[in-house]
Amino acid sequence: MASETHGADAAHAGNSMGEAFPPFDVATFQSQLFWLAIAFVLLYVLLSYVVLPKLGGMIEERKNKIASDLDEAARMKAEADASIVEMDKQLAVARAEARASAEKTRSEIDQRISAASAAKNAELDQTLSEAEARIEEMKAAAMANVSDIAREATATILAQLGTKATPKQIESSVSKSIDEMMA
Amino acid sequence: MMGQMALDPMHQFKVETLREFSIGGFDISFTTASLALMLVVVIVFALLFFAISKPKIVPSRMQSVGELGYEFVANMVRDTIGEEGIKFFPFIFTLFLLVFGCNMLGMIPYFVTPTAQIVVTAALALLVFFTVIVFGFIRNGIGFLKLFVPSGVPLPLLFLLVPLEIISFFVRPLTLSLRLFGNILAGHIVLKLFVGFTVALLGTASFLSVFAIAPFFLALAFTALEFLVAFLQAYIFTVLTCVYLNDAFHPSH
Repeated sequence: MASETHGADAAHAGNSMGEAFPPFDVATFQSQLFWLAIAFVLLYVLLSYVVLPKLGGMIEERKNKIASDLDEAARMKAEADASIVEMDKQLAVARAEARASAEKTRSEIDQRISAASAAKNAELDQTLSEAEARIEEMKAAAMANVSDIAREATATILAQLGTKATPKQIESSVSKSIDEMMA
Repeated sequence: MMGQMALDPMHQFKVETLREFSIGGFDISFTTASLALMLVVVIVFALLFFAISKPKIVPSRMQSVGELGYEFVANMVRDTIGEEGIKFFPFIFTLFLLVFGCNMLGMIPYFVTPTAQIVVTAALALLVFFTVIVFGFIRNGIGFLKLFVPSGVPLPLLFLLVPLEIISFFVRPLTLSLRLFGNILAGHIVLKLFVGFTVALLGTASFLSVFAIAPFFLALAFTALEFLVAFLQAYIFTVLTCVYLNDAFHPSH
């Protein structure tokens, strides 16, 4: 068997110079074309009806998924941004409210303080004017006493000195000097 | 004699019949090349089926790989043709995976590489070529012929340019098929040669065996390069398909 194969090979090798180079061996062309056609059509059918729709579908599906995920993310970001804006707005409103309420309270307190102090001032002014009036009264009373005492003392001193003077003279000179003093 | 067989770099491209069939005189024998093609279809479909079996929003590894391939080809179609080119997406995706799968399967020793068979690459290139022509005429009617008339060129120059455009258009299936075929064929021949040298040098069982290390490392480096080429050629084939299809969508340029 082995020697036979070798023999055939040797024979083949022997006339290979004259024989066609194997790829140009026309005898095999018919069957090669036939099987190539079978292989090509088979592969074409398998790929275009089984493999490619599925492969393309998977890629398409992934693209859609990524696109929809991105959309979802964008939507959520927009929502978050809107919430931030809303929060800022509410914060500003609350701040303004707080400021207004503080301002109101302060003005109320100021009003009360000024009202209270005005009342107190009026009271104090009245007390003061009353006291001044009393002082004036007492001062007038004291002044009246002073001229009496001065007149008596002058009359007494003059009597002691033996100088005669009418009460009228005493009266006028004393009141004159008091007036001078007071001035 | 073993050595001679191992050294024959063309042997790997020989298509052996596994089982003979024929329909109405048409030979449809199941060969090693047919086996490789069928394996590619099965493996590609199995991997992709695994990728879509448990779809998740956060993809599993296989699902990621599947989606990566999908996006890779889809972006290629979008960038070269535009959004309307997406109706050719299954066609282009199939083309890419079939060529890429064949190139990669060919990297496994003892498998016939279907893309190193000129008849296979020529058939694929002609499929693209006729798809462009048929779709171009369906979409644009006779306006598809504007493809050969560059706009904004003075009339005398057109006498020179139109024949050039026509030649370059009709040469496309040739270049498209030969580029893929040549790259894969050459890569496999080079690999086979270096591996063959390594084996032959080791086979001398003398001080020459020491030198086997040089072709061994070269073979290693070329294997890495061939994986790159396997991907790159599939990519180039697919991109050019998109570029040619673009002409069917936008013939005036």
